[in-house]
Amino acid sequence: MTSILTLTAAVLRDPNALVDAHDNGVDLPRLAPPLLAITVIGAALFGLMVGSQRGELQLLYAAVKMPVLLLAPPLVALPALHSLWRAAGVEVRWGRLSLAALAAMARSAVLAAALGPVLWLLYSLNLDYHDAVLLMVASIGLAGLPGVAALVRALPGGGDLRFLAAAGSALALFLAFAQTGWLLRPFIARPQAAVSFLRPVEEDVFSSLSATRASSKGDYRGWEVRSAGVLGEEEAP
Amino acid sequence: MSSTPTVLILLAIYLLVGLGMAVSLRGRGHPVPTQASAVVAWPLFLGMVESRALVGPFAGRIEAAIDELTRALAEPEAAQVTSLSDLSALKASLLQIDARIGVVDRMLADPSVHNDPLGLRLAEARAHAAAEVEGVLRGLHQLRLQVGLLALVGDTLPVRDRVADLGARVRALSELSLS
Repeated sequence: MTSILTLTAAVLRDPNALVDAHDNGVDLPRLAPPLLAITVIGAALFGLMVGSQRGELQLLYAAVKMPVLLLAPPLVALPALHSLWRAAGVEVRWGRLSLAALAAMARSAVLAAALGPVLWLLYSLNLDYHDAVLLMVASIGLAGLPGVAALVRALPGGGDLRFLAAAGSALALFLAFAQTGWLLRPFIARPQAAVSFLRPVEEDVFSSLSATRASSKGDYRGWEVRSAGVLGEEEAP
Repeated sequence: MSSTPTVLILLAIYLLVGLGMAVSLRGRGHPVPTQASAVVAWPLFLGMVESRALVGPFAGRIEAAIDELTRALAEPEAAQVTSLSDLSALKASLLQIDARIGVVDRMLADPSVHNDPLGLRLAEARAHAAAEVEGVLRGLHQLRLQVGLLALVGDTLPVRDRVADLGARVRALSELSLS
């Protein structure tokens, strides 16, 4: 049985070799549990560091939600990715795509966990809310890019429109990730808001981006602190 | 209707599909960790619903033998001996043959088959295939010991030849089973 530590080293050193060595149609069910465990442990550790910005229950909430944030986008986008690569003329078997996605998720989670202490140190310097959110997003981007690159490289060669499929895959993953992050917020609680597990579902990530653009011009409508959401307490106005 | 219950309903549907996938994997003899993984990450396992991967009587020993050999080949002294993809292909072929033996075993479990002349031929063919798989497993064990010798002698050629021999033997058996 391949141990979790051996797999962790493999996804960091050469995820493509791991996919090549086990792309035989029979190893996926054996490798999926340890690779998912690496993803969950790595992402939970990173979530713990993100939650440390506020402390209290936010530590637990962020540690529980961060693995979902890393796992959900590839799972949701997998059928779209499969179709994109086939449309580009690259014959990708579902098993290889799944194995590549698992290796990519595990790689990103381990890198995110490795970035955790840096994040923890910077949060201990009392960053303000917006800087803390930007730092978290930058860290996830830094850890996520090597994962996306590993996923794309692990897919078979050939195909005239391979470049378009790779770009489309990155875009699909980005959109799924952005909306998942929006649904699972808050990872970092606003200073005026109560700690809550989830905020009520409202519009989508793009409405938030337009509110951000407006606020940068001095219009702060849309940034009001809302009700505390799921598993949170209402604060007196 | 508030959107939060909608999200919860969608989540419940997702997990229900995952449970269905786990039950399907259980029926194919996959272990509990794989079934649990399927509940939360079922889209990864969609390809397995299409394929009819079955498990035969040698599956566990094949897994163990290839895993041991892979670990032996991961030693620095054994680098460059053979590629892990060669071993992966060998394992896939062995498991395919093992799955066919499993199918025959299930047929032979029916007592009426034993009285049929064709059933006797099937039992003979099964015994031959099983003996071949046993032989390849012994070969894999010897190969692992040979890899150990590399640390002292340093000649990789015999090990490479042995891997190629085993691959050819399995391919021949695979072609025989299909013919």
